[in-house]
Amino acid sequence: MKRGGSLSSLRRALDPGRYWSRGAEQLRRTAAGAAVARFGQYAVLPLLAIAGGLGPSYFGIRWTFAILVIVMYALLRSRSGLFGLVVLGAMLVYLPHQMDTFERGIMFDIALYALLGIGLNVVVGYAGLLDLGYVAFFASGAYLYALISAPQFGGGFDIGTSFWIVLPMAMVLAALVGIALGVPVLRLRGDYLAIVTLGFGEIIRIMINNEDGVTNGPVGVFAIPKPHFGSTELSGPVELYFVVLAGCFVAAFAAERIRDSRVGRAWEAIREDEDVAASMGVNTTAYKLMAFAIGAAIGGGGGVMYSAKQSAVFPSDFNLDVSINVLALVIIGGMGNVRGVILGAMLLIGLPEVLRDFSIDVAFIHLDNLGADYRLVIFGAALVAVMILRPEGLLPSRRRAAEFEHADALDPELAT
Amino acid sequence: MAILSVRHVSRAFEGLIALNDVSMEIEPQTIVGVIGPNGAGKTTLFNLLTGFYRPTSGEIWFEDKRVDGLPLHRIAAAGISRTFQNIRLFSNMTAIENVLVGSHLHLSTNIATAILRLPFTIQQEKRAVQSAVETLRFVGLAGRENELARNLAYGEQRRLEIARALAVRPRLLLLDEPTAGMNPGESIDMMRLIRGLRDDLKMTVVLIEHQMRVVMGVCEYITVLDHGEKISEGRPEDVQKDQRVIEAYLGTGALLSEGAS
Repeated sequence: MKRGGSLSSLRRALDPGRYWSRGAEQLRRTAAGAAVARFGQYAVLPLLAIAGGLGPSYFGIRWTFAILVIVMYALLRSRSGLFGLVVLGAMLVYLPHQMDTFERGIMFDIALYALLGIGLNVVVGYAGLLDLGYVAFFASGAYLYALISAPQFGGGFDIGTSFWIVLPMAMVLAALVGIALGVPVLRLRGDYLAIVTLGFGEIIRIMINNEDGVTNGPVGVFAIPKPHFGSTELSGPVELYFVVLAGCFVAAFAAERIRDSRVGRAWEAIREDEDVAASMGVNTTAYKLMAFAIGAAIGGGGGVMYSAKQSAVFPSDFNLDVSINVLALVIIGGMGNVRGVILGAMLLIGLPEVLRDFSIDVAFIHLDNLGADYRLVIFGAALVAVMILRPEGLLPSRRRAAEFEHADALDPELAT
Repeated sequence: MAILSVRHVSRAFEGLIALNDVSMEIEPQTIVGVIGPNGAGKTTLFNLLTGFYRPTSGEIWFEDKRVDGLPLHRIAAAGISRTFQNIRLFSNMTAIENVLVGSHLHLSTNIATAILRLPFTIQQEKRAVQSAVETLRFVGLAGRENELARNLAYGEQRRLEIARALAVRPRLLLLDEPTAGMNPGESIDMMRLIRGLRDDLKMTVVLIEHQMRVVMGVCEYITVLDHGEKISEGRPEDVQKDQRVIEAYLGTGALLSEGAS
């Protein structure tokens, strides 16, 4: 118990939200502070945004990233409404222009994984169905776009704007794949569901690998054309990053609205007690399929964007790592909360890259290549620390936080 | 015409016969008690009526519709709703959200209308919230709307289960030990509430109950189960005098010596 006590106090001590609100509280106590607190966000956030915007060239990527994370955390936490969204939007739109190609690629990856996270969060966070094969839907979307548009199959239509036609097609296809997966596994719960979905993800990858005639097998599909917007070709990572960013916005908007409706309520009820939900009139089969289909559609859309960005896809792009990474960012960020998922994507995808130029050079300690050599070790340690100190994730939904609090109360051993 | 008709229903669990050839008819707008010693099969009967179990044999008819074997949500849609002996609220949802889940069948929002949030959808949701608030007030939980279900007091949780079941707008409501763990004062409130269900909401109520004071006070008709069989039924005062019921509850010398041998 003593150990549990000290750990939980450590956990409290390291809770960034605590300092955030305590700092704000102390600030509010002073008269000047009150004024700052009242109008502060209008000054502080733009300042931070400008700092972040001056960004890479001035502060280096590491500080820019740190500032971006802080701004995101502040905005996501405080729900500062339209103003916050505008600042955030401006920052996300402006920043990539200050970056080099490599950093732009990272921004694209973060946005893409945020999009996938939003999709998986519908399945895992809202409906409580542990899906370890999310990559299957991502792969379906990516390969649909690749196969329809790449010239190496003779099919290779001159697609022009057809990215925008394939996108909804891929979402529908992925949703159907989601339902196809959902129907046989619906009776399974918990661990069993996780194992079957895990297998499903692998089956899709292996199928793509082996069906040479259709997918060109392990050689992959090349020369996938870029999308056009009007007459402009969206060829660079920045342009495609904006496409994904827009996708994130639409998906987050849709996901939050569904969560706040009768549908989201039914999912919550299923997560809490499936049988009781059914006996209150919820068609649990249909609602679980719905969650699978929505999550899959978002994943499929992400796949199309990935395909367009990479210009080439290979079966090996769609291995288990993708599913695990997406699930990890959902859990680290905070299950059930779109805002948490976005933060999780920034940390999980961004941090390993930012850590590349991390070094320690104090007194007689010179570890110049610390980040380059050990970044994944540092990253892994950070993930373990988050899970120990904040098992509910960085920005959990109100409900998930309640569930974890409940677990603490029930079982002090579990809480340690 | 009976609203519920249970016809020769049996249920066995791998050889253990939990319910054996039980038949009963329930008239509309009555309050019926199901009593019996522990393990008599009362909750099994409820689980059969609401689709949690399928009968091994026999039929269950509700308002001229055969309901045994239907999936849970179809039985709810048919007009049967229930509470649970071991409270099964959605404990991390608020009181009002629990009730809103109960009103699921009477709302129509789907994915598309949820995303678009049309005026119609907003209106419907508003009405649902309003009626949930009224339901909570009806069971005596006014002002507790936004409390998490698991933070409610025990008696309040029992009431919330009833509110959630009422939101389904059933014509037949099954209450599994509604006064379990309540003090005498709370029990009296609960009896008043149960009478209100019939008188104000025109419902048929079947309840499992151990407190004889409650059973005798509120039920117009009683069915007695023992070892999975129906051993008696009738008006409370008749059942009280039934020799078989007294034996079931108190045992007899003959039974005791038989058990000892």
